[in-house]
Amino acid sequence: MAESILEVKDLRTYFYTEAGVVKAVNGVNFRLEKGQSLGVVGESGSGKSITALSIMGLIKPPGRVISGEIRLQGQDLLKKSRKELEKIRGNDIAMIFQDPMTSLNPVLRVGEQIAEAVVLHRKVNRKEGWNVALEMLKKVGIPEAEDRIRRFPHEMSGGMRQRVMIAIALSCNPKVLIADEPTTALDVTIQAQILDLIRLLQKDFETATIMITHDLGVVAEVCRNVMVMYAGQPVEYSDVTTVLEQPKHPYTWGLLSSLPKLNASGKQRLTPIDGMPPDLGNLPEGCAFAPRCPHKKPVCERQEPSGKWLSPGHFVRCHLYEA
Amino acid sequence: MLSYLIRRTFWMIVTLFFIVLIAFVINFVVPGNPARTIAGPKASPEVIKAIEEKYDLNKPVPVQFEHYFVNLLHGDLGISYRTNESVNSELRTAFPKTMYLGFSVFFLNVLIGVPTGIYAAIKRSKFMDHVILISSLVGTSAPTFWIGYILLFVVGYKLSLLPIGGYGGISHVILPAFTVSLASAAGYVRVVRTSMLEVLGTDYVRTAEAKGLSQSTVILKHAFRSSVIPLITYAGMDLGTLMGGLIVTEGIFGWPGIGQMAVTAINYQDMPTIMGVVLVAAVAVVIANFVVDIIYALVDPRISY
Repeated sequence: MAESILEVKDLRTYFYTEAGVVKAVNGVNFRLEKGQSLGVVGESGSGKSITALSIMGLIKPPGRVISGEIRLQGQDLLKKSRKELEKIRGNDIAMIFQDPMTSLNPVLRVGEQIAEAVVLHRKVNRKEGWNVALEMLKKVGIPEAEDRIRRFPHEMSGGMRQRVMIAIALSCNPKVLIADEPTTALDVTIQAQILDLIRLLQKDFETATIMITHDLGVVAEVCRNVMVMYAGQPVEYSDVTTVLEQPKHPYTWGLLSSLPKLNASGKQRLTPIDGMPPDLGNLPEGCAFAPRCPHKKPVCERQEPSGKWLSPGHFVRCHLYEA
Repeated sequence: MLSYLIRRTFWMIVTLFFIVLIAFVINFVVPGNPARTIAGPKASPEVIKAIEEKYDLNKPVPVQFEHYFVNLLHGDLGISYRTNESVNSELRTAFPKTMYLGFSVFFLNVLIGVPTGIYAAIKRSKFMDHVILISSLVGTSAPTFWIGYILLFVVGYKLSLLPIGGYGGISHVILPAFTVSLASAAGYVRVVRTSMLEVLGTDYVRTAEAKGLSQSTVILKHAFRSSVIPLITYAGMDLGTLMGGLIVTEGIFGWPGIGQMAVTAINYQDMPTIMGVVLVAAVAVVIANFVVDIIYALVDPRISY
């Protein structure tokens, strides 16, 4: 097995709200190898983004990481002090956010927003920081970078701003890049460009990538492995071909059949998954997916499935495969 | 930008014209005869008539306004009915003193209000946030004359730490400035706290945190800088108001600014002096607003004229 960069074990992040405890992330496990790309897929509220923010150490009260391990090259990030985490954030682990229109500071020049991370982590002076920023803008394919570097975010389009976000994230050559729905807020044509860019840079920088998305198409294009999440837990994990072609979990089946297919004949209807995602503050007993599952057995509503490795590299959490 | 400045200046002049007009007319709405006030209660009708003659008080209001306005355009604010001195020279003495006190208050407001507001926003809903909010409520609610006399009595009289009144250097300005600032800094706290809370929840602050920037850099460089617009608006209004004179505080501490000048002038129906003070106060507010609009464009690149 290749060297593992990031290892998450039994991560649980709960939010202690007045209405009760919301179990947003409820036992997530995965391993990320050097240069590998992992897609995290699930509906809204399945805990994808909270998993990412937990790794970044950016969970704010009333939220709290209550247990688990997040090991970056063997070191548990959950045991680090705030100061130590500041050295890792943006340096070893970087993140791209969903909405480029709101993720850049409106009153700072884009050059400054890239350079400040470089100045901070590389211990260089401001001028060198700006030089790196210029280089990064060119790498992410921004035309007339010498001019754009002095611009403010509102003078750029959404696609350009997302390129700037990518430039910020990669400016310190992180070991892990977390992209939280990086193309969701963009036009379809721009989406493809940004995905191409991420894929290209991922190879270039040998950065391990976690791609959070609800779009299986994105996963198919960019990722090698996929983790399907439901109600704060991974329900299926495997390489991308297996998940797309031989999915085992009923939820994955549901996700796949709710995708439109280009080659489908005529007016074939999409099959949505019935029902709504469960209330994370009040999870059902047994399997969280059971109320919506077309294949549920009596046991599903009584007992939580513990999960099973069907083959090395293919994990499923479902009673259909437990005996 | 240039056309904006020209348009803006034009409207400033229009605004000031109407302020002068309205203030002038109000003088004639209030009952009483200025000539009698000037002459004293025992003056004979002849004397009063002579005074009316001298100050044009027997002419119709539009004619009087025309006289006043033409003089104003020549920079002449007239002669005080009470002291017989030119209002220009009286304002030249009093206004710098008001500016001195006003800027001291403004300085304290910013110095106390802004950091406290930022701190309260960081400690949102925690103990210290509540302490700050409650004390700022108490500060705003306590009447100025009460705070002023308490400070005067305790610090000036009992402890003899500072002079108990009058105009002078730093030691004289501390008590009156604190008296006003204890109440008005509270407004800054609330403005800064609210706008900071709004910005602290934004995506770009999270981006800044994700870069690994320290908390102080995130707060000051990223959050505070983009949250200053409401603060600038508020500070501009505050400064404009302060330049109009602090009537109660100047009274308590015997500070010879335009606030006191206004009070005396109103008591004597000294119209030229009243008009002079109103005009200075109005110009201060109008200029403060103008400067605020210019500063907007300087601090926020999204705003351009």
